Amino acid sequence: MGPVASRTLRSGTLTRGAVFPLLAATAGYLVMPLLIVFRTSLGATPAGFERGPASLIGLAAYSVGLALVSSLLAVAVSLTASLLTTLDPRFSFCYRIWLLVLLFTNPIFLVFGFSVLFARIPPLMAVIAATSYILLPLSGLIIQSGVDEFDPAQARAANSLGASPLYVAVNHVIPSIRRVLLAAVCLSTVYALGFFLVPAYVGLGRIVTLGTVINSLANSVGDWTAASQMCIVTLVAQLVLVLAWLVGARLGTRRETA
Amino acid sequence: MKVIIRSISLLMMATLVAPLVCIAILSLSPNEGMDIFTTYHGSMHWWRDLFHDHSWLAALLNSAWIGLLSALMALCITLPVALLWRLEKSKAARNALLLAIISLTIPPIVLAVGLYRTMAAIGMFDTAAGLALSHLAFTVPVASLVLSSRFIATPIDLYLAAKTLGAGRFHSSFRWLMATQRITLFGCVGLCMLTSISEVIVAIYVTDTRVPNIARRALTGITQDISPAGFAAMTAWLLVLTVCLLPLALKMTNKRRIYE
Repeated sequence: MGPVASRTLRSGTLTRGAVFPLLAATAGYLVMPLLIVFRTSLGATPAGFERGPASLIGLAAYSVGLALVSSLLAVAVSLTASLLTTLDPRFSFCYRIWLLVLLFTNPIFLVFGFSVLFARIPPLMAVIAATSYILLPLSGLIIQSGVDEFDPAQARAANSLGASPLYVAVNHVIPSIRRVLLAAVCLSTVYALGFFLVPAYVGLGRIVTLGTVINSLANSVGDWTAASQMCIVTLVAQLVLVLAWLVGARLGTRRETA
Repeated sequence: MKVIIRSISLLMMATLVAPLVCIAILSLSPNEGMDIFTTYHGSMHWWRDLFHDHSWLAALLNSAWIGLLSALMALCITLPVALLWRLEKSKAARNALLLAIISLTIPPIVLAVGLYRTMAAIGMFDTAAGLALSHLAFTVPVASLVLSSRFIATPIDLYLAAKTLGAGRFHSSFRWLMATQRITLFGCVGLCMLTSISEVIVAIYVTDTRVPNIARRALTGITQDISPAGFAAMTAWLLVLTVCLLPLALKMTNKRRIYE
């Protein structure tokens, strides 16, 4: 065996040796659980769980709608805050600390707090407000990274030609981070789709979403087949969202190229 | 113009912080009545309860150990792949990293149901090792994102120079890592650990009573022993996090003004 062939063989072994643990871990925490959920969902549904397709589609649409409204609200607030960070360095520092702290704050504590603070407002509004607040760090970090990538020289040039900061924000910064905004909306919506603590405690159990149904089927009823079937519905809803995101990003790219 | 921008900034910051401030005020409530509008006289009663109640501290310490274990596992699994991707430009390593972060796009409740069934099947339900392994679903993607974003921002001239001078791959990689990425490695472990500690849904599903953790303790705080001590715990956690994350926020802050 020549030196080149030997080196190629060593390189292939090195790649396999380095990549295998990560692939094994990914199979363990992602592929196997999803396969188990899929296999369990194929079992016979015990009595007491008879949801028609129309009811399932309605529940999925309601959950996605609720998650989408909350994530749009979170993205709107995050975008405003991120634009303010370009104008005010002190705000930028405080906002970044707030983002990081909230990102690593246990959501149960926030749910606990909101269930007391929002006790006097209607459950649906309370759930939307609490979900948006919990989504803020996720959407905030994604949008902030997009705004940080924006070239300040472009804004200064526009400013020196007489454009106001508001004009620059609307006509320069926002168009340059369109794809980041789309990603923030999509990821936040997918994340919110799995929430069950907020509707259960802040919504006082009156708001029924895919998350609350899965949780009650798994923990209260103990019907894992039905819970797995609802998980599959959630995954389908998530796939539709991700596909919409990819199509939106592709359309944006095509329009920019044209 | 400056005054207007400063006023809007202040208003925005006040809006963002207001719920946390209200929760901190509730932790000073003199009695068990948890209504922000009736809290007039401050009391440190619930803070004393928090520090005398060992279940909170035990849960936090256990969560920290589990988080550290999960973070170290995630780093050991992800680091070689990230190095291979950055230093050797391996496509297989890039694809493996992309695959690892897919779990961030799966709703956590779906992962929780699947992981519960998996852990029950292999006899690791309600064990600390089972929780640490389950948290790899969150710590591996975080480690992949942190390492890949930091590695791509760092030049690899030192690695190439070491290789040109005859050093082996492992030696050159180790030298490059130690010379340029020490803080990144510590930061990565810290962020993965915090991710594990603050994760709730999977922790509730894959543990019961044998493994105390902060997610379960907080859930008990909501559902059973409802008292403002939970708010004191949250306020304490926020203060600790603020102190810990201050250097990172300082580093991240872009002090340049767009408009001079």
